[in-house]
Amino acid sequence: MNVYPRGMRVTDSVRTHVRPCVGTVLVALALLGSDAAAQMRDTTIFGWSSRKLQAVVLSTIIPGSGQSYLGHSTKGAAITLGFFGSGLITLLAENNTIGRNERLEELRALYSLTVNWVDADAYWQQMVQTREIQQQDVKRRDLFLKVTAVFWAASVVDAVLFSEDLGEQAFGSAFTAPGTSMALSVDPSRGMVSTLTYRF
Amino acid sequence: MRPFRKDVLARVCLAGLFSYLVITGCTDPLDLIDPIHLTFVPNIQNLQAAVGSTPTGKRRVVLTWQYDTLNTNIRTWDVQRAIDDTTLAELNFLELVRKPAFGYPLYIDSSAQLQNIQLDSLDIYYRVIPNGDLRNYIGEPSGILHVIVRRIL
Repeated sequence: MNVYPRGMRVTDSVRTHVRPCVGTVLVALALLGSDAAAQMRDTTIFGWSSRKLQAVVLSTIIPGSGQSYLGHSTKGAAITLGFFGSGLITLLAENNTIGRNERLEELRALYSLTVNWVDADAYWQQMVQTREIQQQDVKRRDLFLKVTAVFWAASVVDAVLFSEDLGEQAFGSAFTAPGTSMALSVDPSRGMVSTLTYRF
Repeated sequence: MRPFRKDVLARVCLAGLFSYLVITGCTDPLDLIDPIHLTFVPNIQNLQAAVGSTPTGKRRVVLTWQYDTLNTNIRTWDVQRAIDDTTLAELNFLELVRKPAFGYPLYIDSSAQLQNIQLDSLDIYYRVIPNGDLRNYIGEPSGILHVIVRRIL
C-alpha cells in the first residue's frame, strides 16, 4: 500500500520531512555544545545555577548544609550547630513544659481530693512553684524557637544572597583546602571505620 | 534544565508545614486553679487568751477567737494544748467547741494542770483548728498562742 500522496516519491518524503529534522537536530547539537547551551543547561529558576538551587534546597531542609555545599564550610557548620543547638534547647524546654503540665494535673487531682487545709496548702504551694518554673520553661522555649527560626531564615537568605559558589572540591583530595573532613569506610576486619581529617 | 522544580516546591512546602507544626504544636501551660482551700472553711482570727480565776478560786484561761460569720461552712473547732513544750508534736487535742448559735466562740480551760503549778509559772501553748461542715474539711490551723499562767494571780 502506497502511503505517499500520488506522484510523490520516497526521496521527496525524505526531503520534505527528514531533512529539516536532521538539520534541527544538528543545529541543536551544535548549540548544546556551545557555552551558551552549557549555561542554559546549568541555569534553573531565578537564573541560579543548579548548584546554587541545590544549596538553597539543602539550606531549607538542613540549615547550613547549603553553605557547606557551596564551599563555605565554617559558616555552614556554624549555622548548622546554631540551628540544631537552639532547636535542641527548644525541644528540651518544650519537654519540660509538657512534664510540668503533667505534674500540675497530678497536683490538681491531689488538691481536689484532700480534705485538709495543711495538705491542700502544701499542694497549692507546689502548684505555684511548678507554674513559676514552667513559665521560665515557656519563655526559654519561645525564645529559642525564635532563635531557631532566625537561624533557618538566615541560612536560606544567606544561601540565596550572600554565599558564592566556590566550586566543587574532590572529597579527600590532596588539594583540599585547610579544614576538617570526615569519611566513613568499610573495613572487613573492623567493620565501619570513621576517619576524621584536619588539614593545616 | 534539571527536572526538580516540583521537588523544590514539595521540599519548601514540607519545610513550611514542619515549621507551622512546630510553632502551633507548642504546649500551652495549664492555668492555676482557684485556691478554694483559703476560704473554704473560715479561718481563725484574733485568737486571744485571758488568764483569771473562777468564782471558786480556780485558775482559768479564757480563749476567744473570731471568724468570718458570712462563711457558714463551719461546724466545730478543735482546741489543742501543749504544756511547757513548744514543739508542734506535743499539741494534744483538748476540747471540741461547737459553733455557737450567735456571736463568737470561746473556750474556758480550767483543767487540773492549771491548778497544780509547782514552779512560779506555767507555759501553755494553744492552737485552734476549724472543722468545716462540707466534706468534713479541716481548715487552716491558727497560730500558736503562748500563755503564761502564774501561780499567784
